[in-house]
Amino acid sequence: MRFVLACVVMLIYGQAIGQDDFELLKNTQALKEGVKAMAANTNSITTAFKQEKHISILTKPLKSKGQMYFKKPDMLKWAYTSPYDYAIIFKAETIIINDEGKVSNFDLSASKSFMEINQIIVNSVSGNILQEEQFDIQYLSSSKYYLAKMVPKAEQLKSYISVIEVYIDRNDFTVSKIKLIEKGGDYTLIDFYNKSLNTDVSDEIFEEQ
Amino acid sequence: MRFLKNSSLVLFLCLIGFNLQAQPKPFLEQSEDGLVYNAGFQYKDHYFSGILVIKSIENAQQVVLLSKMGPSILDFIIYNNGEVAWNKKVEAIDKPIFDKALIRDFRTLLLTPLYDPVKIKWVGDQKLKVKKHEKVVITTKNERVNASENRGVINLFKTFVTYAYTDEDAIPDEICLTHRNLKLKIELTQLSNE
Repeated sequence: MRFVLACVVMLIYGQAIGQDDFELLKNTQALKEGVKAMAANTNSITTAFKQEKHISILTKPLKSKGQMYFKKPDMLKWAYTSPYDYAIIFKAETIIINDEGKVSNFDLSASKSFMEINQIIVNSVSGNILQEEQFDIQYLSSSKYYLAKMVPKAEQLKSYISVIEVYIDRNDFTVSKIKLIEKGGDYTLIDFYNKSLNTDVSDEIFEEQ
Repeated sequence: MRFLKNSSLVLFLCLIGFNLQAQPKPFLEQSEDGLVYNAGFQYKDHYFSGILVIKSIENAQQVVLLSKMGPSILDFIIYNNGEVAWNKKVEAIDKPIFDKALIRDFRTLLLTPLYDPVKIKWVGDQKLKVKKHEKVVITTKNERVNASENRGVINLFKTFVTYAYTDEDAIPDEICLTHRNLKLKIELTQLSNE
């Protein structure tokens, strides 16, 4: 009986650990080729997302959710629907924000930092993520995901974000989760679900009045 | 003689009673886990919004402003002894004049002079003057703070804060901060963090 109980405990414990059991990826060729092919073959992405912001002064994370749209070459919209209505659109060199009906436009070219952050976000979502000239990247893998731990090389970006962890689905090479870790350990975790690739995404989605 | 003694005692107790009028508690004291607000900043025609997290910590109050996409923009601590510690501040707003104004605004908004005040004086039933690192005039109703404003000899950009409640507790559900001679407005709406 004790033996059976021990086996059950080990099985449960083993499964729990196994979910996050990442190992260093020795051969990165399959991952890089898979991601490159996915980025090349994907013209649009529509996905729901859940966001959790973990900050040291709060015991519970701040949760939000919404819908994300991407259309080639460089149109991206994050639309938060809960607990607030907030949409941010990255379109060429412009950011449009609709904050509960208040619309603002910003010229991205005026801010180098914003341009860099925009490029990272667009690259992360579109699959063109593994930018080795901008990041020192460590590649890991588990049974479900590839994980790219990306440390920015530029000092300015480093002052905002210390590590970006990108979880890539092993089956279709799409980005499943992004974790943005700030200096000091606070982090934002974005989890994508109900993904649709190459569906018809209208240009009107990326316009706000 | 006994009548005189009793009358004096009653008068004394009444006077004591007036002076011991309940001092309002800073609203952050009502929440151990901190408070989360949807924050809107309006400066002239420019509008920016984020998430404001405020929490009472040991001998201090911590303020964190996050962008809605996640990364934090500001993080600072106002200690009860008057010191301020900056944990994070984005480059675009890293200017001494901005720091000073921001700290003064948040001292008024968070009612920090109520933490170990140097001097406190009631003016009527609903108004009290509190002096510490800032002089603040606080208006109360039913033991809840309705408004606060800072005072000073030279105070061109005086800060006014109003607090609104939709339920019975003493935690404001909406806060609005404005200034004299400056078109900067901060509006906060409480968010549930369940």
